[in-house]
Amino acid sequence: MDENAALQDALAGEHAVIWGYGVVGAAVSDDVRTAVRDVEQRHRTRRGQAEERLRAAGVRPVDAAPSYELPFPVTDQAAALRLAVQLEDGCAASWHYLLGNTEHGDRRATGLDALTACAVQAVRWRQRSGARPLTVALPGQ
Amino acid sequence: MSSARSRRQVLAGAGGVAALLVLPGCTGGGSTSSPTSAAPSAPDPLLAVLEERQSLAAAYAAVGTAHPDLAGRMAVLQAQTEEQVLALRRALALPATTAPSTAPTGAGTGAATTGAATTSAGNPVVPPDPAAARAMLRDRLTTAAEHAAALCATTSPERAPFIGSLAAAATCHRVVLA
Repeated sequence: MDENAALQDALAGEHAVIWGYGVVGAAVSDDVRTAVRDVEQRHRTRRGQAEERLRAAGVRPVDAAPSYELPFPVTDQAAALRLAVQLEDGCAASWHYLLGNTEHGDRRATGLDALTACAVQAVRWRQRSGARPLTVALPGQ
Repeated sequence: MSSARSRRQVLAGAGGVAALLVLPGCTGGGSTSSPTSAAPSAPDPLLAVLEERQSLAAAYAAVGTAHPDLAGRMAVLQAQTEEQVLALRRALALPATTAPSTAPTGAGTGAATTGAATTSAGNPVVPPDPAAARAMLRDRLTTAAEHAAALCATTSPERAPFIGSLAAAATCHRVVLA
Protein backbone atom coordinates (compact mmCIF):
# COMPACT_ATOMS: atom_id res chain seq x y z
CA MET A 1 0.00 0.00 0.00
CA ASP A 2 1.41 3.39 -0.93
CA GLU A 3 -0.82 6.19 0.25
CA ASN A 4 1.33 8.98 -1.16
CA ALA A 5 1.47 7.37 -4.59
CA ALA A 6 -2.31 6.97 -4.57
CA LEU A 7 -2.72 10.60 -3.52
CA GLN A 8 -0.39 11.63 -6.37
CA ASP A 9 -2.69 9.67 -8.67
CA ALA A 10 -5.71 11.55 -7.38
CA LEU A 11 -3.83 14.84 -7.72
CA ALA A 12 -2.92 13.98 -11.30
CA GLY A 13 -6.59 13.32 -11.91
CA GLU A 14 -7.52 16.73 -10.56
CA HIS A 15 -4.90 18.40 -12.80
CA ALA A 16 -6.41 16.67 -15.83
CA VAL A 17 -9.98 17.52 -14.84
CA ILE A 18 -9.15 21.18 -14.38
CA TRP A 19 -7.52 21.28 -17.81
CA GLY A 20 -10.47 19.43 -19.29
CA TYR A 21 -12.96 21.92 -17.89
CA GLY A 22 -11.18 24.62 -19.85
CA VAL A 23 -12.18 22.77 -22.99
CA VAL A 24 -15.70 22.17 -21.70
CA GLY A 25 -16.21 25.82 -20.78
CA ALA A 26 -15.19 26.99 -24.24
CA ALA A 27 -17.87 24.90 -25.94
CA VAL A 28 -20.97 25.62 -23.85
CA SER A 29 -23.51 28.40 -23.49
CA ASP A 30 -22.98 31.22 -21.02
CA ASP A 31 -25.24 29.85 -18.32
CA VAL A 32 -23.62 26.42 -18.49
CA ARG A 33 -20.20 28.04 -18.42
CA THR A 34 -21.03 29.61 -15.06
CA ALA A 35 -21.70 26.14 -13.69
CA VAL A 36 -18.49 24.85 -15.27
CA ARG A 37 -16.43 27.54 -13.59
CA ASP A 38 -18.01 26.75 -10.20
CA VAL A 39 -17.26 23.07 -10.58
CA GLU A 40 -13.75 23.75 -11.81
CA GLN A 41 -13.16 25.91 -8.74
CA ARG A 42 -14.19 23.06 -6.46
CA HIS A 43 -11.66 20.83 -8.18
CA ARG A 44 -9.00 23.51 -7.74
CA THR A 45 -9.75 23.58 -4.03
CA ARG A 46 -9.48 19.82 -3.78
CA ARG A 47 -6.28 19.91 -5.82
CA GLY A 48 -4.76 22.43 -3.41
CA GLN A 49 -5.67 20.28 -0.43
CA ALA A 50 -4.06 17.23 -2.03
CA GLU A 51 -0.88 19.21 -2.76
CA GLU A 52 -0.80 20.46 0.83
CA ARG A 53 -1.18 16.92 2.17
CA LEU A 54 1.66 15.66 -0.02
CA ARG A 55 3.99 18.48 0.97
CA ALA A 56 3.23 17.81 4.61
CA ALA A 57 4.37 14.24 3.98
CA GLY A 58 7.60 15.53 2.45
CA VAL A 59 6.57 14.57 -1.07
CA ARG A 60 6.80 16.87 -4.08
CA PRO A 61 3.32 17.04 -5.63
CA VAL A 62 3.12 15.82 -9.22
CA ASP A 63 2.83 18.58 -11.80
CA ALA A 64 0.05 19.02 -14.31
CA ALA A 65 0.93 17.92 -17.82
CA PRO A 66 1.58 20.71 -20.36
CA SER A 67 -1.52 19.50 -22.18
CA TYR A 68 -3.74 16.45 -22.46
CA GLU A 69 -5.34 14.38 -25.19
CA LEU A 70 -9.08 14.63 -25.54
CA PRO A 71 -10.89 11.29 -25.82
CA PHE A 72 -13.05 12.73 -28.63
CA PRO A 73 -13.43 16.08 -30.40
CA VAL A 74 -15.41 18.69 -28.45
CA THR A 75 -17.10 20.96 -30.94
CA ASP A 76 -20.51 21.55 -29.38
CA GLN A 77 -22.28 21.65 -26.03
CA ALA A 78 -23.43 18.04 -26.24
CA ALA A 79 -19.87 16.80 -26.66
CA ALA A 80 -18.67 19.18 -23.95
CA LEU A 81 -21.16 17.76 -21.46
CA ARG A 82 -20.17 14.21 -22.42
CA LEU A 83 -16.57 15.17 -21.71
CA ALA A 84 -17.58 16.72 -18.42
CA VAL A 85 -19.23 13.46 -17.31
CA GLN A 86 -16.14 11.53 -18.33
CA LEU A 87 -13.88 13.94 -16.41
CA GLU A 88 -15.88 13.43 -13.25
CA ASP A 89 -16.05 9.64 -13.70
CA GLY A 90 -12.28 9.46 -14.12
CA CYS A 91 -11.69 11.67 -11.12
CA ALA A 92 -14.07 9.55 -9.05
CA ALA A 93 -12.03 6.48 -9.96
CA SER A 94 -8.82 8.11 -8.73
CA TRP A 95 -10.30 8.97 -5.35
CA HIS A 96 -11.91 5.53 -5.15
CA TYR A 97 -8.45 4.03 -5.57
CA LEU A 98 -7.08 6.17 -2.74
CA LEU A 99 -9.65 4.68 -0.37
CA GLY A 100 -7.93 1.34 -0.72
CA ASN A 101 -4.51 2.79 -0.05
CA THR A 102 -4.89 4.51 3.26
CA GLU A 103 -5.54 3.24 6.74
CA HIS A 104 -6.34 6.64 8.17
CA GLY A 105 -10.02 7.30 8.83
CA ASP A 106 -9.69 11.01 8.14
CA ARG A 107 -8.06 10.34 4.77
CA ARG A 108 -10.79 7.85 3.97
CA ALA A 109 -13.28 10.63 4.73
CA THR A 110 -11.46 13.07 2.43
CA GLY A 111 -11.30 10.48 -0.32
CA LEU A 112 -14.97 9.58 0.10
CA ASP A 113 -16.03 13.24 0.05
CA ALA A 114 -14.11 13.67 -3.21
CA LEU A 115 -15.49 10.45 -4.74
CA THR A 116 -19.01 11.48 -3.78
CA ALA A 117 -18.60 15.02 -5.12
CA CYS A 118 -17.37 13.68 -8.48
CA ALA A 119 -20.19 11.14 -8.66
CA VAL A 120 -22.83 13.75 -7.84
CA GLN A 121 -21.37 16.18 -10.38
CA ALA A 122 -21.50 13.50 -13.06
CA VAL A 123 -25.20 13.15 -12.23
CA ARG A 124 -25.66 16.91 -12.55
CA TRP A 125 -24.02 16.99 -15.99
CA ARG A 126 -26.17 14.08 -17.12
CA GLN A 127 -29.26 15.93 -15.91
CA ARG A 128 -28.24 18.88 -18.11
CA SER A 129 -27.47 16.77 -21.13
CA GLY A 130 -30.42 14.39 -20.93
CA ALA A 131 -28.14 11.35 -20.69
CA ARG A 132 -29.75 8.31 -19.09
CA PRO A 133 -29.39 6.59 -16.74
CA LEU A 134 -28.48 9.44 -14.41
CA THR A 135 -26.74 7.25 -11.87
CA VAL A 136 -24.51 4.18 -11.81
CA ALA A 137 -24.64 1.27 -9.39
CA LEU A 138 -21.12 1.69 -7.97
CA PRO A 139 -19.55 5.10 -8.62
CA GLY A 140 -15.77 5.11 -8.94
CA GLN A 141 -15.46 1.39 -9.67
CA MET B 1 -7.23 -4.81 -13.66
CA SER B 2 -6.15 -2.75 -16.61
CA SER B 3 -9.59 -1.31 -17.16
CA ALA B 4 -9.61 0.07 -13.62
CA ARG B 5 -6.14 1.57 -14.14
CA SER B 6 -7.17 3.28 -17.35
CA ARG B 7 -10.30 4.64 -15.68
CA ARG B 8 -8.12 6.28 -13.05
CA GLN B 9 -6.22 8.06 -15.81
CA VAL B 10 -8.62 10.94 -16.35
CA LEU B 11 -7.00 12.17 -19.57
CA ALA B 12 -3.89 10.95 -21.35
CA GLY B 13 -1.00 13.35 -21.53
CA ALA B 14 -0.53 14.62 -25.05
CA GLY B 15 2.55 14.03 -27.21
CA GLY B 16 3.33 10.65 -25.69
CA VAL B 17 4.31 12.18 -22.36
CA ALA B 18 3.22 10.02 -19.45
CA ALA B 19 1.64 12.99 -17.80
CA LEU B 20 -0.35 11.08 -15.26
CA LEU B 21 0.90 8.75 -12.64
CA VAL B 22 -0.54 5.38 -13.58
CA LEU B 23 0.20 3.09 -10.72
CA PRO B 24 0.89 -0.62 -10.81
CA GLY B 25 -0.87 -3.12 -8.67
CA CYS B 26 -4.41 -1.86 -8.74
CA THR B 27 -6.11 -3.80 -6.04
CA GLY B 28 -9.48 -3.81 -7.78
CA GLY B 29 -12.72 -3.96 -5.88
CA GLY B 30 -11.37 -6.12 -3.07
CA SER B 31 -14.55 -8.09 -2.89
CA THR B 32 -13.12 -11.33 -1.59
CA SER B 33 -11.61 -10.24 1.68
CA SER B 34 -12.47 -11.89 4.94
CA PRO B 35 -14.46 -10.12 7.65
CA THR B 36 -12.58 -7.48 9.58
CA SER B 37 -14.20 -8.05 12.96
CA ALA B 38 -11.76 -8.78 15.75
CA ALA B 39 -13.94 -11.26 17.63
CA PRO B 40 -14.82 -14.45 15.73
CA SER B 41 -18.45 -14.26 16.78
CA ALA B 42 -19.05 -10.59 15.86
CA PRO B 43 -21.28 -10.25 12.78
CA ASP B 44 -19.65 -8.94 9.66
CA PRO B 45 -20.63 -5.25 9.44
CA LEU B 46 -21.35 -5.70 5.74
CA LEU B 47 -24.34 -7.85 6.65
CA ALA B 48 -26.16 -4.78 7.96
CA VAL B 49 -25.31 -2.92 4.76
CA LEU B 50 -26.64 -5.85 2.71
CA GLU B 51 -29.90 -5.88 4.62
CA GLU B 52 -30.24 -2.13 4.23
CA ARG B 53 -29.75 -2.28 0.45
CA GLN B 54 -32.12 -5.25 0.08
CA SER B 55 -34.68 -3.22 1.98
CA LEU B 56 -34.04 -0.20 -0.26
CA ALA B 57 -34.52 -2.29 -3.39
CA ALA B 58 -37.84 -3.48 -1.99
CA ALA B 59 -38.81 0.12 -1.20
CA TYR B 60 -38.08 1.21 -4.79
CA ALA B 61 -40.23 -1.65 -6.06
CA ALA B 62 -43.06 -0.74 -3.70
CA VAL B 63 -42.98 2.96 -4.65
CA GLY B 64 -42.99 2.07 -8.34
CA THR B 65 -46.02 -0.13 -7.83
CA ALA B 66 -47.90 2.43 -5.76
CA HIS B 67 -47.04 5.38 -8.04
CA PRO B 68 -47.04 4.48 -11.74
CA ASP B 69 -45.74 7.93 -12.73
CA LEU B 70 -42.57 7.10 -10.79
CA ALA B 71 -42.31 3.53 -12.03
CA GLY B 72 -39.72 4.22 -14.72
CA ARG B 73 -37.36 6.05 -12.38
CA MET B 74 -37.90 3.50 -9.63
CA ALA B 75 -37.03 0.64 -11.98
CA VAL B 76 -33.62 2.14 -12.72
CA LEU B 77 -32.83 2.82 -9.06
CA GLN B 78 -34.08 -0.62 -8.04
CA ALA B 79 -31.93 -2.35 -10.66
CA GLN B 80 -28.82 -0.46 -9.53
CA THR B 81 -29.56 -1.27 -5.90
CA GLU B 82 -29.91 -4.93 -6.82
CA GLU B 83 -26.47 -4.74 -8.46
CA GLN B 84 -25.19 -3.40 -5.15
CA VAL B 85 -26.86 -6.29 -3.35
CA LEU B 86 -25.19 -8.81 -5.67
CA ALA B 87 -21.82 -7.18 -5.08
CA LEU B 88 -22.39 -7.23 -1.31
CA ARG B 89 -23.30 -10.88 -1.41
CA ARG B 90 -20.08 -11.60 -3.32
CA ALA B 91 -18.07 -9.61 -0.76
CA LEU B 92 -19.69 -11.64 2.01
CA ALA B 93 -19.10 -14.90 0.13
CA LEU B 94 -22.83 -15.54 0.11
CA PRO B 95 -24.53 -17.21 -2.83
CA ALA B 96 -26.20 -14.84 -5.25
CA THR B 97 -29.94 -15.00 -5.01
CA THR B 98 -32.58 -14.35 -7.62
CA ALA B 99 -35.33 -13.87 -5.03
CA PRO B 100 -37.60 -11.00 -6.04
CA SER B 101 -36.93 -7.71 -4.22
CA THR B 102 -40.54 -7.44 -3.15
CA ALA B 103 -40.10 -10.44 -0.86
CA PRO B 104 -39.63 -9.61 2.82
CA THR B 105 -35.96 -9.19 3.71
CA GLY B 106 -34.34 -11.85 5.87
CA ALA B 107 -34.20 -11.42 9.63
CA GLY B 108 -31.71 -12.65 12.17
CA THR B 109 -28.61 -10.64 11.36
CA GLY B 110 -29.15 -8.70 14.54
CA ALA B 111 -28.45 -5.53 12.63
CA ALA B 112 -30.69 -2.50 12.96
CA THR B 113 -32.71 -1.69 9.88
CA THR B 114 -33.55 1.83 8.91
CA GLY B 115 -36.65 1.65 11.07
CA ALA B 116 -38.95 2.08 8.10
CA ALA B 117 -42.53 1.04 8.59
CA THR B 118 -43.49 -2.26 7.03
CA THR B 119 -46.69 -4.20 6.66
CA SER B 120 -47.12 -7.46 8.52
CA ALA B 121 -45.70 -9.23 5.47
CA GLY B 122 -42.54 -7.11 5.74
CA ASN B 123 -43.21 -5.03 2.64
CA PRO B 124 -42.50 -1.29 2.85
CA VAL B 125 -45.39 1.05 3.55
CA VAL B 126 -45.55 3.63 0.76
CA PRO B 127 -47.01 7.09 1.40
CA PRO B 128 -49.99 7.75 -0.91
CA ASP B 129 -48.58 11.14 -1.95
CA PRO B 130 -45.77 10.82 -4.54
CA ALA B 131 -43.76 13.68 -3.05
CA ALA B 132 -43.96 12.07 0.37
CA ALA B 133 -42.91 8.76 -1.15
CA ARG B 134 -39.83 10.40 -2.66
CA ALA B 135 -39.08 12.08 0.68
CA MET B 136 -39.33 8.70 2.42
CA LEU B 137 -36.81 7.26 -0.03
CA ARG B 138 -34.49 10.25 0.40
CA ASP B 139 -34.49 9.79 4.17
CA ARG B 140 -33.60 6.13 3.80
CA LEU B 141 -30.86 6.99 1.33
CA THR B 142 -29.40 9.57 3.71
CA THR B 143 -29.24 6.91 6.41
CA ALA B 144 -27.73 4.39 4.01
CA ALA B 145 -25.07 6.86 2.85
CA GLU B 146 -24.13 7.77 6.42
CA HIS B 147 -23.97 4.13 7.43
CA ALA B 148 -21.67 3.27 4.52
CA ALA B 149 -19.51 6.35 5.06
CA ALA B 150 -18.97 5.46 8.71
CA LEU B 151 -18.02 1.91 7.78
CA CYS B 152 -15.73 3.15 4.98
CA ALA B 153 -13.65 5.05 7.53
CA THR B 154 -13.01 2.02 9.71
CA THR B 155 -13.04 -0.98 7.40
CA SER B 156 -10.05 -2.73 5.83
CA PRO B 157 -8.26 -1.12 2.87
CA GLU B 158 -9.47 -4.04 0.75
CA ARG B 159 -13.10 -3.16 1.40
CA ALA B 160 -12.92 0.62 1.69
CA PRO B 161 -13.24 1.45 -2.03
CA PHE B 162 -16.30 -0.77 -2.45
CA ILE B 163 -18.00 0.59 0.65
CA GLY B 164 -17.14 4.12 -0.46
CA SER B 165 -18.86 3.43 -3.77
CA LEU B 166 -21.94 2.24 -1.89
CA ALA B 167 -21.97 5.47 0.11
CA ALA B 168 -21.56 7.64 -2.98
CA ALA B 169 -24.24 5.64 -4.80
CA ALA B 170 -26.79 6.28 -2.07
CA THR B 171 -26.01 9.99 -2.16
CA CYS B 172 -26.43 10.07 -5.93
CA HIS B 173 -29.78 8.29 -5.72
CA ARG B 174 -30.91 10.85 -3.17
CA VAL B 175 -29.87 13.63 -5.53
CA VAL B 176 -32.02 12.29 -8.38
CA LEU B 177 -35.01 11.91 -6.06
CA ALA B 178 -34.98 15.57 -5.03
